[in-house]
Amino acid sequence: MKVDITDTTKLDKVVQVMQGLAERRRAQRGPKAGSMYYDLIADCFRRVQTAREEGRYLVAHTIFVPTEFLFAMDIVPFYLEGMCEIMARVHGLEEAFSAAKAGGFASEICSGHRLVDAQAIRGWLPRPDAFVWSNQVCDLTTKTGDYLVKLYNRPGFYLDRPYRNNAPGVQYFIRELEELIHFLEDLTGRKMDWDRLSEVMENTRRSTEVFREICELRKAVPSPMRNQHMIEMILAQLLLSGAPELVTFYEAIRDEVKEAAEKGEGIVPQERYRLLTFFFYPAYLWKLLDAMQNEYGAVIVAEPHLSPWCEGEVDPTKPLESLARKAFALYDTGPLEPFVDKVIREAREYKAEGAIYWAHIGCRQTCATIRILKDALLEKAGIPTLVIDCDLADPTYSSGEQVKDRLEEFFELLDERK
Amino acid sequence: MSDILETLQEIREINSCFPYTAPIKAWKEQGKKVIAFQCDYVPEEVIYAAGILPIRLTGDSGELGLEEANAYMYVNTCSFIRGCLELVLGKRYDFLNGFVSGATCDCSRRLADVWIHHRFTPFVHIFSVPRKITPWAYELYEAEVHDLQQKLEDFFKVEITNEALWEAVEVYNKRRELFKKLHELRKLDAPPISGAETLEVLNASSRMPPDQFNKVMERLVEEVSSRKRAVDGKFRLMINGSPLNNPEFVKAIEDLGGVVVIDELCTGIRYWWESVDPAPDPIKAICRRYLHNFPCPRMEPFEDRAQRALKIARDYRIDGVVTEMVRYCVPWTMEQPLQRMIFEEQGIPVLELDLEYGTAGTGPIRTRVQAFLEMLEARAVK
Repeated sequence: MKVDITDTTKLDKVVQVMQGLAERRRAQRGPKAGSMYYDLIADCFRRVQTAREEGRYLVAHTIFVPTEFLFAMDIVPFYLEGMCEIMARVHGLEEAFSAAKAGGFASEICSGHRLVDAQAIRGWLPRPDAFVWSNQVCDLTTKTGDYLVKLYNRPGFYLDRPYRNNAPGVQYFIRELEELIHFLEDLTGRKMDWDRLSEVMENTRRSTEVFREICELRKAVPSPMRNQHMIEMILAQLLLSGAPELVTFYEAIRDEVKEAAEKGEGIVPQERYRLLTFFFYPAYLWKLLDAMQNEYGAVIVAEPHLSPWCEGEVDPTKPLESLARKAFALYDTGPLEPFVDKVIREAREYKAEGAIYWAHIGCRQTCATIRILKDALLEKAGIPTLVIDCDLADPTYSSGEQVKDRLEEFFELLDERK
Repeated sequence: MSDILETLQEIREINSCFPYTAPIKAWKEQGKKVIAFQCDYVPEEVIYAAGILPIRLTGDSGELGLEEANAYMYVNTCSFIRGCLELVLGKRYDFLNGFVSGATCDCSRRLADVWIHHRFTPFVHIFSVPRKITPWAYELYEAEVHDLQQKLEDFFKVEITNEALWEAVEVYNKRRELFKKLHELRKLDAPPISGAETLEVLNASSRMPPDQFNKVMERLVEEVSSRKRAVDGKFRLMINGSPLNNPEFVKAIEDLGGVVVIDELCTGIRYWWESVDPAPDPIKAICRRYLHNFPCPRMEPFEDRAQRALKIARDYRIDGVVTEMVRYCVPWTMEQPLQRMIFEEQGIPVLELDLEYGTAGTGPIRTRVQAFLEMLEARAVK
């Protein structure tokens, strides 16, 4: 089995589209963080595109693989799930899903992963020098690497995070991180520059700190932050953890949010509903986040699934321990009970009036927790939860109109409760 | 098939009262405890050495409505896990004193979350199971098994001695040896036991005290070896895939002309494949066995599994593979394109069946199996 690289011009197109979106936001003269986001995405694709001609190694990786190691070793990261989803949207989801099906990937597999495999099969991805994958979110990320390593005939490393956050688990994960460094050293023929890694970790420390500041600012009533900012911040985190651009981007958002909070201004003239949301927004419904805010006055104040990584303490002089803390702060791979506590705490602290659970049909590990979280929110925080059946990337599963109808019904319910 | 095995009747009698089988009931009547375990990575010996009977948590061996379970776990949780939960919610597992699970896949660890949240049993424990086999993976797994030992001792106020552990190892190793003997017979040109019958035996093995099972199993192996019995079937098949407990599914395949001579299932060979080797420290020896056993698709790297699967395909001279993928079983569905490829590269055709746990093999499944067997027939003619 091998893959023929048939068409890497797809990357050019993505860069063009992202640049166009950045330009459009600049033309709208909105806050600078808006255009910065698309500039960052365009730059990430550009780096992937030019890695080979610049003589740099390209490593494809799954979600939450520590990009800090890659930046410290001047390796170009290629975040598979996030970048492939963007690429597929630019080039046609239908064709990509068909390729996944033809390749034997069952439709119940998370569409984020099917889009990775599909584009690999079609030869739309550049050939990376190696793959690094991990189980930090779900089983699918554990299994993604096997297929790609075989398809591209490239070396691979699987980074294993244990379930329990206890002393043997942390020790094990640190050992895994050491092995990942050895793997990258063997790949590049270069030793890790630990001073450089500390510099990179300082960026991680700063971005984590700013992220926390932003979370604190969101507690203000009315909410000073746009609904769409958080998902942009998370995608940027997954692409650029350890990069100075991430710090600059977060600072721009922080400044924007801080200014509004200090003036006591909300992101909408009349804030009507304060919401918690669970899990990633469907990629094809990002525009709906603006509509929720602007048409209904529904502001998202916290996303418990998207923020736990920032709870780990970062010490740049102890990169491995810090990255282990960051990894174990994620609840997706660990026990649920601490997450339930976090959700209740955030519902209260952020004065949420309702919650929306994006129930992605391809995501077992999050959907299996819906009942417990929904019950806990109602019993302990007194707020109802709307569960929306959807898919991470496939718009045919539930249309924007259907989702909008469900949201309207939910907002009516919230009105009745007031 | 020529005749009915007497020992199998005994096994059917045991399975008929699933999940609260007569042997479990008798065990409980002695005032002893029972713990259900989830997944092959839970070391049964440690539980048994505490004087507690470990039994495997499964759904029913047949098709089951999942109405209650669906209210607790979303419909995209694999139906094996929802099938287990349905029985728990229906009070069918009320005799349990505890539940132990390895955090081995998304659905099983989320079942543990639901179990903990609703406190279905007084004792619940879930532990990390590494996905790699490295020296530090053994260290982690060993630490987790020591912790399980400690938790059992503290909660049930028992001491798990090295002697008790070695005794447990002896009992479970005996069971594994007997399964090996039975499976050696399945290598014969005309195997004396069918795949469906073997699954009935496997089901019973984790639904009764292991020493009692060994006695039944000894008689079964003796009976199967000594009688001139041959299972009809033109094509030798392997079943692999997600957890499988319904013998009717296997029987449906065999009724159509295949003979299932081997499986690669967690409820099949992966349950008994390796034995615990002697070592100075019983926990170390047990851990080595469990981590080094025939791997589940959750484990990395894939290549190790692939080579082992191909070896059994050669040893059992299989003509085709039937893969049963329980819908939303992540490790299998994600690995299946690779699985299929490694078999097809060796000229072994693969039939993929996307189904729900407990499916009996009727309707469209039957049609697809029939077509697969016809394809094997056409290949044989060529």
